[in-house]
Amino acid sequence: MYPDTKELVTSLTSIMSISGQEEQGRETLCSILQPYFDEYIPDPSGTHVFVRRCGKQGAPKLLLDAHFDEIGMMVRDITEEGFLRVVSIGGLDRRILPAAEVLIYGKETLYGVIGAVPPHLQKAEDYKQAPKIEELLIDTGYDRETLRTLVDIGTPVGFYEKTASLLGSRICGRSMDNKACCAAAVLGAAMAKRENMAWDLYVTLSAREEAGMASGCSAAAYRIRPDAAIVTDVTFASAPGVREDESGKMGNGPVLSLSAVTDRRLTERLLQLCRQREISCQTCVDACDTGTNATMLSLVGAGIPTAVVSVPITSMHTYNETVDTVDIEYAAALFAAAAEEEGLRS
Amino acid sequence: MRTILKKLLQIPSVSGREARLGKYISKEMQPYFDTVESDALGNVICRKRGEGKKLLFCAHMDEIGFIVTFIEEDGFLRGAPVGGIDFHAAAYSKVVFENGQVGALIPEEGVKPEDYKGDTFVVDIGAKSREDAECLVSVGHCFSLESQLFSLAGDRICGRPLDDKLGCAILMSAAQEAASFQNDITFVFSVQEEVGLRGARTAASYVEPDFGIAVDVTMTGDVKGAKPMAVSLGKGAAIKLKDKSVICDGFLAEKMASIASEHAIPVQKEILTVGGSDTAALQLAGAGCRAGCVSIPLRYCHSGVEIADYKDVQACRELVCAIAQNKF
Amino acid sequence: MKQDWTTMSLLEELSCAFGPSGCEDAVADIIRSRIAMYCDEFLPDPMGGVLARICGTGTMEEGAVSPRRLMLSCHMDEVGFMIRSITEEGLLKIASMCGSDTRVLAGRRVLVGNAAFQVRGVFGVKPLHLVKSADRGSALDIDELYVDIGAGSRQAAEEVVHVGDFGTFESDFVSFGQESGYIKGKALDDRLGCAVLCSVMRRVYEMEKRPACDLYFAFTCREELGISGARTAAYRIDPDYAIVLEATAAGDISGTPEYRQVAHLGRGGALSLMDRSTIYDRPFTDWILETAMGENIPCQIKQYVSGGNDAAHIHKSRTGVRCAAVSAPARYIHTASNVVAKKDIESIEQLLMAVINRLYNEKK
Repeated sequence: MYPDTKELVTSLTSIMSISGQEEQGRETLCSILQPYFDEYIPDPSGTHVFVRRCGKQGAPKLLLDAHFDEIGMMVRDITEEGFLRVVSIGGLDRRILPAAEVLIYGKETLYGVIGAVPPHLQKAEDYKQAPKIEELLIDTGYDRETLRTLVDIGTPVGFYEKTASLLGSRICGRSMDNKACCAAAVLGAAMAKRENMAWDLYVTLSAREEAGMASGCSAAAYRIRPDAAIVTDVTFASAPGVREDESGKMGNGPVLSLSAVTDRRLTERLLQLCRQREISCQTCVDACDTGTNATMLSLVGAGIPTAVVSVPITSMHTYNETVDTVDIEYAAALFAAAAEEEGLRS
Repeated sequence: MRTILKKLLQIPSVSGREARLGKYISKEMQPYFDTVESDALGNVICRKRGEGKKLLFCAHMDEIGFIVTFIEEDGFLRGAPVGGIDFHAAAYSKVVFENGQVGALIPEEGVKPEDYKGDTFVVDIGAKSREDAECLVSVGHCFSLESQLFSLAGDRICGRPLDDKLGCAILMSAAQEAASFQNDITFVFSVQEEVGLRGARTAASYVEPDFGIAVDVTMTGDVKGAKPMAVSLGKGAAIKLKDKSVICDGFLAEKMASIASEHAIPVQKEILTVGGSDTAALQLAGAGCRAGCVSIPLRYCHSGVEIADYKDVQACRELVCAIAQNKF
Repeated sequence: MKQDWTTMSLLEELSCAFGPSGCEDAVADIIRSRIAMYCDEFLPDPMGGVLARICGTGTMEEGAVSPRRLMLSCHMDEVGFMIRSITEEGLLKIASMCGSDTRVLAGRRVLVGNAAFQVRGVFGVKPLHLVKSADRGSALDIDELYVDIGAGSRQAAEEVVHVGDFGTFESDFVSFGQESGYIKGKALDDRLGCAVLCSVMRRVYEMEKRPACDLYFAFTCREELGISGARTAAYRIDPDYAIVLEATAAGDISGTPEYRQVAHLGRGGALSLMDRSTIYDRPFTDWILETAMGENIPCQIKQYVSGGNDAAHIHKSRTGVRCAAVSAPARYIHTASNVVAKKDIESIEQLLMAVINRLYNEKK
């Protein structure tokens, strides 16, 4: 039994998990994922660890990491007139923020609109400038006094857009980075047939990747001590302005990283598995840095051989990241195959 | 005519606020015309029925100015320009409100002259607070630079707003000859020219003339640093061929020139490369008409010290009368 | 038969309807179906607008027209864009019809198609990570923007959309803020005018007496392009008075100097004295203001000279029309997230009813 991909992505994206806030959605997350795993281990770092065992004594551990956190904002100040000022959490794209819709996770979840300067106050040259984050105002429709009872300095603020369908198997919405890959990891675990599994599979939905520290992933891995690891994260899909050789084509399957910082043998094995099982996949060169948790993860403890399997998305770090669910399903198939492959590291 | 002009200058008439001036002109024009009406926008339309072609003469009553948009906590007023204000010419000037209140138009400290615009100016009426100011003026009140008129050397006069109260004065003075007019004649004293030729358009739609002739000021090429332009102060009435808003009707322009030469009225041809006039609105209103303009040469237009030559003004008056008396 | 809608429910329906300038049919259909039973006749409008008439006292007979005619006008269209071309990859390149601020387009969800059929798309953005750091503060150029409908190829895209098709924002209608007193949606400029006018028609029609003069309700096209359907509507109706119902850009947000805030949400409809294209008839505007004060209806004066609306064309129509404009203050207009106060919509409806009621009792 495994879940419908779009439904799974939709339910994962609806859990707010702005970097540093990953634990808030624990109950919801566990209730969604409980059918597919044997065990849940909360990690003090905020990382959620879900385990699916193969049932064999002394089986090696495969860690499948997908960061669970998402970019967002945090309340910095409430103005006299009752507007919120914010700082960014993660690499927010300020070119798309005016008039964007947000949710403010205070005592109650409030709706808000990021203010845009009215046209009569703008000069033509202003249109060419993206506003600075510190200049932005969030309009909640509350006066200052009431707002102060509901929202505090430090309250997280996230985007409003829910997951929606485009043509065919494509979907769009907030936080496809990285809920699409979380879904791929969960789906992969669910698809692995227990009788065939050669590995105990540890799925870490890790904290604080967008905050630039990979701390959630490393901490969990330190406790788990896996024998091998696969990091799954989003990568750039081919689109106008994106070079073809630094991106993957949407719908053509997951993108495997060829990099100096990942384990080449593990990567080659995964590519081989794709060929054997007729799983569509593609490769991409990330010479010195994959821009994922992989670099830090591979350095944990005495070192962990790590590969990177990515799902291509467009419009990364906007509130309408777009992904093809077919790519999620191909990635999941690869993860299931890996968990069933005894000779993954030979 | 100087008396008429003086009287007109005493009545403020920023675009949109011409009602008082319109009332005065209506009353003055009553004896000379069959009907004197005012339309929805406030144009004064004076009509003398007659045989033959329908001629419309049009001078605009409105002047450029400002409208109060906001009163600050500390009693300063914010305003927006009404019409083409030259803020360099207006800075640090005395301004007068419709109710007689006076004030000073001041740029904000530190604003460079090249950045002058509506939002960088305030009016100081001496009020100490918003409450104080609200007793004297309110949002929506209009004001303008102080009106004035004085004589210079020879026949030259200086003051404001000669644009286009000179034109109004010319028509009002010409009206005294109305008994001698041929044709079906309408004099229109139009509103809202300075904000986009709005009044002349609806007036012309109403009258549906065969010929529409504006009487308005034009710039001259004889001031220091001026763009080359073949119009000089003192060389007579100008017959407009073209400005930025209109290409005048060729037949009418020639006819005007030949009438002038028959009556030995000094005229010059005018091609203006900036600015527009009611001529354009007359030409396009309704099914359109043959349109032209009798222009009054004027130096330093839209400043507080516009300068005209009285001889030119007289020539314009004579030309208007001669056209009205000519059988078309 | 009474129809089961309120101003607010109709506003939600209209806000979500697809109606960029030049493609207002879906909005017009909704409006026509809601008001058909509340007017005496529809006037033809080749421009695609909806023009409806409620006869005044004594003008019910065929062909009779009241000598006094009041026109109430709002516009149906919203800001949008048009598909200029479709790339090999199935992406849509667009021509904007909503001004030059691309910052409110990038990343947005949109609908593209025609009045009958639309598909969802997204304004794609080159990932920030691949943008040179010097350029990260620059707004995207209109030529960099494209709409991704998920087609994957030109052929797949052409099965559902075509060059020349229209597009507009997709945006939920949301009640929010203190006591849920605010709404957010797309196209509130000027669907709120449309919703209010529909309600006013129903209320007028359900009154016992006929109004003292003929009332004309104009729901116009293409206001946002400046080539207004109001111009031709005013020509046909030939009113002596007109009130334009609009949304005006409110700047009542932190950091904006008070004198540039224009109008405040929650303080009632804003009456214009002057904007960039019209000087409003002062006696008529004063009369409306006086009516509001007499009935204790919140109302404010627009305290800045900015913008323009259908009045630009109406007041210069034929031999001139005495024009006033009442606008709901709206934050962030011309974006997907217009914000207005519910109270203001109620105040404006009340004000129009008071104006019409006063027409019964006295001659202006």
